[in-house]
Amino acid sequence: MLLHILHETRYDYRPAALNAHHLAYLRPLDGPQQQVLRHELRIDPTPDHRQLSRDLYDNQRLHFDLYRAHGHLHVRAETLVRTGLAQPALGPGPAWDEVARRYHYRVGAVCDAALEFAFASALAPRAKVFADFARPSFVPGRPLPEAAWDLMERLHRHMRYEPHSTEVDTPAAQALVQQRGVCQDFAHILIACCRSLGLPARYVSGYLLTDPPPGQARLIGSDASHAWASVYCPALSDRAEIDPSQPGQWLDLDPTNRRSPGQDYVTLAVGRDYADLSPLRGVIRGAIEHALSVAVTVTAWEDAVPAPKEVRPAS
Amino acid sequence: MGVSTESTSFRSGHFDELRALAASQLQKADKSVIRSSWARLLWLVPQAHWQAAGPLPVLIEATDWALIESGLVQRAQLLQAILDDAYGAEELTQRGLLPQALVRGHPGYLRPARTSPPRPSARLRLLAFDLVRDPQGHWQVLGQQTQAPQGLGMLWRQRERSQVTLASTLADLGVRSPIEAIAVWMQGLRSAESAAAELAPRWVMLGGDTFEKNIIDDALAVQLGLIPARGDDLLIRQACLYLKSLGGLLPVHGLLASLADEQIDPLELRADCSLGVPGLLQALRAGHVTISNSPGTGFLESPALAGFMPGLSRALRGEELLLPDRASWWCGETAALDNAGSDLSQYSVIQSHPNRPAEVTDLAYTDSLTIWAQRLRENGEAYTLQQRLRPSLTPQWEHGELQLCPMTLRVFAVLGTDHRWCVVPGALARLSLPDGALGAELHAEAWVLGGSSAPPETRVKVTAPTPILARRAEDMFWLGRYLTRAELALRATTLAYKLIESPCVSPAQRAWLDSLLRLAALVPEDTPSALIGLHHLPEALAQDLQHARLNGIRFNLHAMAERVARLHAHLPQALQQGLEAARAQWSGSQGPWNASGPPIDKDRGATDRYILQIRAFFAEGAWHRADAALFGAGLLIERLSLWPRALADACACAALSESSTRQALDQLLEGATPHAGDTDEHQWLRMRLEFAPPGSWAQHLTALRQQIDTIEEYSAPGACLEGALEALAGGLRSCRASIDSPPPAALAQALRVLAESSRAAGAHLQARYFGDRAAST
Repeated sequence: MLLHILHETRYDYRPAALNAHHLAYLRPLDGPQQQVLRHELRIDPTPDHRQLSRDLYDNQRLHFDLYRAHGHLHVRAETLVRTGLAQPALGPGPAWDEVARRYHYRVGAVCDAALEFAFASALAPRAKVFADFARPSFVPGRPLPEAAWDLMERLHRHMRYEPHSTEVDTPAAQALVQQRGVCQDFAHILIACCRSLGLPARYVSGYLLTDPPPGQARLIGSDASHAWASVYCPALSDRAEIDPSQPGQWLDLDPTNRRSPGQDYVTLAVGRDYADLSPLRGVIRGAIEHALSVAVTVTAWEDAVPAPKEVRPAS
Repeated sequence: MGVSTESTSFRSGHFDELRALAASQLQKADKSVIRSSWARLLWLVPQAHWQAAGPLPVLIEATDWALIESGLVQRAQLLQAILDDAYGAEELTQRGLLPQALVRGHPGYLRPARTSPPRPSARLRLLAFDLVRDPQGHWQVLGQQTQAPQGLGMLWRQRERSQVTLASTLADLGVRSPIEAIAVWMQGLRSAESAAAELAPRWVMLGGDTFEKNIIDDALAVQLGLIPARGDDLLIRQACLYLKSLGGLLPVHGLLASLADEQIDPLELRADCSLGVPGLLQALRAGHVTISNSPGTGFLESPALAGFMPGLSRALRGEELLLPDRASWWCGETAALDNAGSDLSQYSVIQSHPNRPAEVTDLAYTDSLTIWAQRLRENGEAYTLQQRLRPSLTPQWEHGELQLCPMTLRVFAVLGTDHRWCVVPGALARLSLPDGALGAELHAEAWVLGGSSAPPETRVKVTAPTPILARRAEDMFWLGRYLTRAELALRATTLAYKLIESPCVSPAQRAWLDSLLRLAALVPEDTPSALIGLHHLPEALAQDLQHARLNGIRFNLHAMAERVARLHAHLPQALQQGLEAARAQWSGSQGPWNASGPPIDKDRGATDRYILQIRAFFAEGAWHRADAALFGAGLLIERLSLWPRALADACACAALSESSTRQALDQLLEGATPHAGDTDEHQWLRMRLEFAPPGSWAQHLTALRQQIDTIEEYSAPGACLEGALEALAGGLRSCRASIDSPPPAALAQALRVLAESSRAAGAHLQARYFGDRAAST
């Protein structure tokens, strides 16, 4: 499936910002399930400095600075992605308590790349409240994918999706208690639940193709950036035991929509929580007030639309 | 001595000498505010729990010190190696020698501080260790501070004082000086590799959020030849770090940070913290700046690390630890928890990650041991068990007698050149009072014996000139402006009362008064004229005081005090008190008035006098030439803006023809016109604008030119202010020309243009000297 994403962010400052430092995570990841065919990032005013790099989790990030006074900042990311290249096939998977035991430290214990996602992070901590919520799904010996799926379904039933019901920095525990939140809260809670049981889980930011209401045209900018969670399942050997020599699989779960992401999803970046990969952040000097508007439009490109000729490097 | 069955760190033989000292000069010398506040900062104990420093220094024998020295050097090398591994190959975690939960799982591990490829470097350059002696007399390590270790500045400061008051005692006992080690540290800093460094790398001390701490750190910085700065003074351009100075942007190659790691870059770390420098981590990753200690060392401070140190020492260096850690068990390891046994009462439980968000810390000390045991099983990684401690006792002089107090020591290790560590001889001792209230503690200097009796060098010789920080320059400039505004507002108040009380006030004068009160922001701009009069004035002023109206008296006094504090200007005590008294006086709902009657002249006069004295202090005090020039420029620009407006109002209201108005203006504007009563309006105006020194405006303009010339000497080449000054001169010329050519409306208009030119000159000056400019060449 070809998905076209337009992600526009506009800040208006009053009085003008004197200088600004920004960090953007706006280029989708290339991976086995998706391929970025085109990505263009336009920034107005033109930054005085820009530097592209990869973070610890191989996400592409862009630092850009403005050293002159500017009354607005407009960041327009346009991306064309081919999705659904490979469908992850997941077997029954290992028992969740086997996995948790494996990641519990003992002398000489092996440590793999997934382990660090089992630890608390600022926005997805470990706490009793999460462990208590998760436990009914995680009965002893239950296969991890099944238990995680059950947790997702229960979380979806427990929580009400309500735009603007939480702030960016609302703690996950509070969202769980008040039983409502946005996709970011759903994801953080699911991750925190897994971590509180000692299981590695990570945060995924991205986009989702949504269907307009019946009989209505798709509104430009009506979508939003999306977020979901991903739980780590170690590989099994032929004898159905955890096989550390084989790479495991990340099982993506979208608790907001109670489903696993398919080809209508685009992965932007992965990290421990939102703080690792917020799409655009910045520190500005000078402006007292700012107005922010974000517009995201995801459209499916028809086959009739000619595919772009070249793969262009980000920005 | 036999004072206790437990060992003490006190050497027999010197007891009588010290007791004599304690009774005399020591006791009176050491009760200063600073001494009581440093301990609070170091150990974060509420200030109420701290008393003044103990008068007796703690003595440490040379043999003891040799053990501490070798043990801490070994430990510092080990910590450096652990850090290099954690930000490099990560073999220790992969081999299971160190739990990943204590490295990447610790919030102090900063992923943005990783570079690719990793650059093994001196990530640690200064370490603080807390040591304790057990009842058997063996030293052990309680913990280490790696993020902006605190206390070295204080240690130095105390020793400098002792060097003055107790020179002969220090020499007689052969107390070792810390100065040499500090000099070694400085050499290490200066030799630090930095891709962008020139021949002499520039190091800056980045101060934190605590006023007292900054004073101590700044003092240390100045003595070491480092530039004391705040986050605001620094900025990032093209991934390089610069210092904003009056002379333009100066490249900075090294940063000695006294901030916690998470505060240093609000872009990539804690966004709600304004103390750091946005973009700093980019500069660090690019290798353009060295930060000491490098960000991301926080996980080394975890108490949980202690249990793994012996194994790490064997694995990394093939040797046993010379100084053991306090016996600790990280509960994330089931085996450790099992070994600890079932009786939790013999341990202290502490958090493995002290800076974890509060949400997950459900520590409640009153919970029963059974609850605790359960908690440790469920979420062991978060907790560490420590063996309960019985520190050795040390004598201290308190409440007029010797007491035996449990003691801990803070000792510092510094990195010199060639990756060589050196332990600073000397320490800060923390003592608990045996009979005091819970948490009552005091502190003392610790002296290391075994040095020569020759008086040591007390200073590290440094000759680097300190640039004038742009922030400081701006504060000086604005202090001049706020002071002038406050002065005018006060005088306008006085004048208003005098005129209103006077029996023969003309309607023209009333109208002028109306504008004057608005100009001085004594009444809001939108107050209807009818409301301004004797009855309403106290009410209007009370409102100003209550709401701190923009540019009102209270606002200006507050702005002044803020600048004075930021400048760290040590005002003479009388002035400091005066300013505080004035602020207090003008902060109440009534100010110096009673609601029904006129203000008390005496109080108003007092405030005016303080402002005058403060003005004299800053204009003539022992300041840098550029500082004085900036203050002067602010003052003159504000006068050339406010005074013409006051005069323009008088012209516009046709009040100037009355000699009593001119007299009133003479009181309002500085520099009395000679025989004002005898001169006519034209003569008076000429005097005011041209002749009468020192208050004429022509003379003000000349002075402003001189001040700007002085500032230019210290600033980077850039756009000239000549245009703005020429506009001012032109404005003054048109005013003169208008004196002889009525109607008065023309003069009023010319005066307003002059005032506007002065404001514009202020804006130019602001942009020219305090804006973020490109690096000077």
